[in-house]
Amino acid sequence: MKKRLHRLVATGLFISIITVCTSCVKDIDLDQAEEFELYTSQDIDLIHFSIAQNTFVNENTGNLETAFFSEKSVIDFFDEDFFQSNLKEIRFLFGAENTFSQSFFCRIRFLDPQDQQLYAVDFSIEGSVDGSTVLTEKEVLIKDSDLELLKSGPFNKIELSVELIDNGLPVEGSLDFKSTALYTLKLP
Amino acid sequence: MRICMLVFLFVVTPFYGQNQQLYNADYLPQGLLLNPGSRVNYDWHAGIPLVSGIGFGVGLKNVTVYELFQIDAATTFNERVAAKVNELTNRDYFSFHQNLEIINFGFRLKNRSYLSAGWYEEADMISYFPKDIARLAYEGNAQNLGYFFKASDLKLRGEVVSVFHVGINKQINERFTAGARVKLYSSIFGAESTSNTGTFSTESTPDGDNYYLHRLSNIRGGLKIAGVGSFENFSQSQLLKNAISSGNYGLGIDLGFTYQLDRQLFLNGSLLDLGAIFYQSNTYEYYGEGSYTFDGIELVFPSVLDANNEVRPYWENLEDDFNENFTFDEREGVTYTVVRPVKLFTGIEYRFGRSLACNCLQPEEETYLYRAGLQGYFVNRPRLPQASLTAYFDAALGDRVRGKVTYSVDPFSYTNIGFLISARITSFNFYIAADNLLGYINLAKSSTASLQLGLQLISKHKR
Repeated sequence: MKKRLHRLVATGLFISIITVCTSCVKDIDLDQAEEFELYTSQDIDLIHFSIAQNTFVNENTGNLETAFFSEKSVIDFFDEDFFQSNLKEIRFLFGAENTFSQSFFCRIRFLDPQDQQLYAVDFSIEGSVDGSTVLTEKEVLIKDSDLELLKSGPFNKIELSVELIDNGLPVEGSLDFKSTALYTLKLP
Repeated sequence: MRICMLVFLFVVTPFYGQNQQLYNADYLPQGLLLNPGSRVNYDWHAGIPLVSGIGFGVGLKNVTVYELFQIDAATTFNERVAAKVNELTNRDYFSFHQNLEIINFGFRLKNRSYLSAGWYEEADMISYFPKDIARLAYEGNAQNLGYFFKASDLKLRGEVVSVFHVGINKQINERFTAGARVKLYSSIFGAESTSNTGTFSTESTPDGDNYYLHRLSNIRGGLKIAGVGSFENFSQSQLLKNAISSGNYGLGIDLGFTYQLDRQLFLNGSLLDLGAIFYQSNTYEYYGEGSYTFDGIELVFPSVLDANNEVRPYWENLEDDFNENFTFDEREGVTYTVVRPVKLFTGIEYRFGRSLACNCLQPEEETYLYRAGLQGYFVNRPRLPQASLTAYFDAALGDRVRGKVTYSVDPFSYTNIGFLISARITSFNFYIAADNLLGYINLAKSSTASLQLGLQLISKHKR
């Protein structure tokens, strides 16, 4: 009994040592690590504003005083190495909720540090026929050569221009503008 | 291909060593390091410097190298990584442990106590899978509206420590043997990121000013490193110097006992590395803290430009507002304390088989050919303790050779079979131990493996 047990243990240990000494890593290809790539997409709010009729009409007379307004803001990260190297595309979403009966012409310009236009987006914001909220959305995908243009500029400011299209009706209501940018980056 | 196995063990994969085979191996001095209260049946020992105790191991919970790097035309590497990222949780981890005995010796005192001392280097690292950060990277925030990504998912700790120790072992009475060891730690390098808090979320706001509301809520955390200053100052010579004198010292104790319940049944246990390292020298911290809510830049109309035709400083205001509420920075000279990964061993052992020649040091003790036992192991980790349960059979295969076979259930495997062989030629004693033998058939498919070996002089005086 003792001999058999010793033989069993000794055989087991012998096999164990052989297993350890002959072990290896097989059926894998570590070079595949070079193929690793990760596309990450992050959605970040961009600009927004809310305006009412007092932006356009004289409160005392009720007359249309100005039909056009424009504003711009610095967006200053496109020249950073991380974005220059990794940014693959941007999907902008612009949305406007309009209760004015008037429609609007909207132009969004992407400018370089010298205010030179790199890219522009035009779209119309629909008017409301009954004072209810009308949602207009415009989606813009920027990639490839357009994106390279923004990178090389580099894109540094965004300018928004809105023009009210006078239809002769009283200028009453509100316009809420929203925007977001979905940045897709390739890592590492 | 043999070399690739070594590369795999040393470099490619993290390391996990539980020392399950060496615990209760009281015929080896390494058993005394794992239980200072084990019964010592030799009179003196002296490790061969640098080769008396070398330990390596690997551990990846719920992932193997094969799963990611297999040669499979049906799936791409990126698809496999993405699938694994989806599958892993923040309780999965990579762990690494390595130890190297530099000096190890011991001898019996006149009062029959056994004094042992030495110096070893130990590296220990654990990094939990940062699930929420990976989820944010892979899925993006738009697919997770309303979800709170937790900064606490980022949790890692790594230390390379030089340990000077001295211990005493004494048989208190016929049944009870106790021991204790005092350790002085000198941290060679430490990295710690375990107390990160706060969340990042993106909420859809149909009635809000913009499409979303992005929140960084109560973020507090970062990475502390010690031993080299900042990463920019990293120096190998400084690390070598730290092995002796780092300025980051700590103190710890090991406690252990063996209690003989009857002639053949033994109860034992030990508590190791009960202590902490106090970091105060060459420390550096990269950190972030604060709260911030963002829903885009609000344009103000009508547009009013100043006399210089300048645009409104929306961006500068945003940066100022962010910097007032949130800080990303680095600082040197931080002081902090890191509790050592405390280990608890506990076991019960039954000895049987024909009695061997008497133990001359303990003539009242019966010696047996075989030992069978059950032992539990717990180690304190930053998120949750790790535990394992091991059953073993230990046999004397003659006067000079002992063999031990173990079966463990641990966080990595339910089929962890290991072994230990200890052979003595004159006073030279060599041992080799490994676990998860089934994994050695192809280490790439194994989630854990460890290998330990050593050479030393052990002497028993004949009386």
